[in-house]
Amino acid sequence: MTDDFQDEEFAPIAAAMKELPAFSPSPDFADKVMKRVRISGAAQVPVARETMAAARSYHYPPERRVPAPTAREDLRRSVPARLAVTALVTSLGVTMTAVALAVFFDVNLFLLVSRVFGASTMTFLASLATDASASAALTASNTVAAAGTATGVIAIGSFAAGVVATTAALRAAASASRKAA
Amino acid sequence: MSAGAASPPLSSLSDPGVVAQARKGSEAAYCELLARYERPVFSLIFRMVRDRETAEDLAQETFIKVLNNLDRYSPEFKFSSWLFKIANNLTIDHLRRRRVDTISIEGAPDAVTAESARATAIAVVSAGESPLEELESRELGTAIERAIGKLRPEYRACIMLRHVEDKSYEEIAEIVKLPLGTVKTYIHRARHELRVALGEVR
Repeated sequence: MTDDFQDEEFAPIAAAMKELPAFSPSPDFADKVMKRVRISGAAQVPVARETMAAARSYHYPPERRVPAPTAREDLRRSVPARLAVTALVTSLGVTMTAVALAVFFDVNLFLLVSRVFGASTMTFLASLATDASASAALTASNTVAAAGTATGVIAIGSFAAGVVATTAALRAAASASRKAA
Repeated sequence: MSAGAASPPLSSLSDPGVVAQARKGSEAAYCELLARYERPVFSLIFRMVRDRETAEDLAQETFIKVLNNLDRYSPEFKFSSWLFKIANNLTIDHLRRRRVDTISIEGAPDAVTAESARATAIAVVSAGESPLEELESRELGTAIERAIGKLRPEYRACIMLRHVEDKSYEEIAEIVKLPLGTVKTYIHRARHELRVALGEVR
């Protein structure tokens, strides 16, 4: 405090400043503030006895009950069906895995088959393909006889193309495996 | 104490006592705090920003912030210091955003018409004085208001807290969040500027 009044020149100004009026905000200032204030601990204020009595005497309307959900029955398949599904899924999985591995490691499948099962297997596969093409040609000629020329030509054409492609692929594979051996 | 014992009136309680009642959920205690400090807080902010509407908004924001955070108030500090600290922070932030450094007692800096300038001007009147004394007092009061308005916001806050709100240097340092030495320097410079500005009036 003493340093305030060491400055004698400022003393009258300091005295005048103390006399400066205080300003009032607008009359609804307090209401505006209180509207936005959360009264702390308001939830802990004990509830009046009358209010509690009124609450107890109130009868709640019956609830509309919804039936409880029932468990769904387990729809189990028969044993043969389950076996068939398991076999299908397993074979599909093995095939996909083998294909994925072959693609990934760039394996020649025909070479692999000939190495594993011997060169005779490849010969057997080639003869099987020839037999299949012969039976397909027979089926095609039968189809022509049954369905007419136009349909027959289309069927024969598609069968022939398939057979030629399969045979060529198997022969090329067999020759490649022989060369490699 | 028996359950039926009447608690003392809120107006007789100290600030920490009223705050304690407010913390218990007494709405009347909130209103008491508001009644005690709405004029000092509003006056401080109004003298800083010189715009009634802005001052009301800032004062409202101050009280809402304070009253909604009473749980954070530590009774070892003065409640008024905590309140003024929040008011000062909000006002300084506002002035920094608006870059209003010097203001005129004749009206708000953003008053565009003569009417709005009159509406935002500060009228200094004193009651209970003779007409001549009143005139002199009004002249000096108006000159002081004008000179305060020309101070830097930091000086303005310090000099008003010291000489209008009668706060100690330590409290001012706490309110404006500045070292004690800086506060003393600001007040010294503010006094010098006021003396120079009011030299010809006195």
